[in-house]
Amino acid sequence: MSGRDVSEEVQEAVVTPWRERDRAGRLVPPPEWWDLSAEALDEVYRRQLRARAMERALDARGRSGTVKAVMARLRGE
Amino acid sequence: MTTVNELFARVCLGDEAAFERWMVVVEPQLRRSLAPWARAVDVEGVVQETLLRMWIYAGDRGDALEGTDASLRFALGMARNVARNEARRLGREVALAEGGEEGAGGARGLGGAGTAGGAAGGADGSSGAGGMQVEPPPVHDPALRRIILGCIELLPARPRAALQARIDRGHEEDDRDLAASVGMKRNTFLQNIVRARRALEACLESNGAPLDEVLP
Repeated sequence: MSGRDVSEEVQEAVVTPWRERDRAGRLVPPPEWWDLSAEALDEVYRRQLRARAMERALDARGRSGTVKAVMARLRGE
Repeated sequence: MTTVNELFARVCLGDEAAFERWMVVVEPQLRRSLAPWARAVDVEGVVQETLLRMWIYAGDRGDALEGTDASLRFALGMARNVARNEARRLGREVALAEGGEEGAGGARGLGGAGTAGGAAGGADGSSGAGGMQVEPPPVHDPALRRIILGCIELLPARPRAALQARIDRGHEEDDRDLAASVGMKRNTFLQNIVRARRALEACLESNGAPLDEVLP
């Protein structure tokens, strides 16, 4: 299964900066992540790069969704 | 003194605003350094975990870091160790071996960085990542922002609503909740984001701002 074979929707589900935490406190990826082939994971990585860059470009303080997520964790939100 | 050093000095004093700005500066390079790990670990999770551990580390013994952009160099080493530990835990070291391990970080001598609490570094308190090229801080481009906003405005209503929800609240809500907030099921929500991103890329290209070329 190549990156192109996996539906873009499945890849998009992993692009989100939102991450749950498991009972041990570890960040866990969306369930779709486990189903992705090596090539699809490469493609997800590229999509995340573009998504985070666009978020930075749109934010007045240059924050990506990742930065906002970390700040939210820090503040216990 | 570099921007990274100035900001991190304030982070060590517990300044959250400085930490946010420090993350804005280092995140792109941190993420790119993890490219070789993309097949083995959830890179987004590793980036977030590393940044959270850097906050803890800063308050604990961050002031022990010395040298130009030492905190960034240390963070790159920590990210690599977090990724390595995660790949090991998931039993995905095979995927890693296929893709190669050497990333942009190149940090060595960081035994323990990335372990619980993240409080570890070189024996001398340095980052141990000599020779790495530190990229200049990202520059905010108001013109690019206007172009992107204009292109988002041109999207059909439902893809625009989905993408906007992800951009505005994707850091604090999962897709199921975001989808519900715009009156969609999760699958429809994801389809609409895909449609939105495709249309957005085409729009940016037609405005002379192809995404891969203009975004840092």
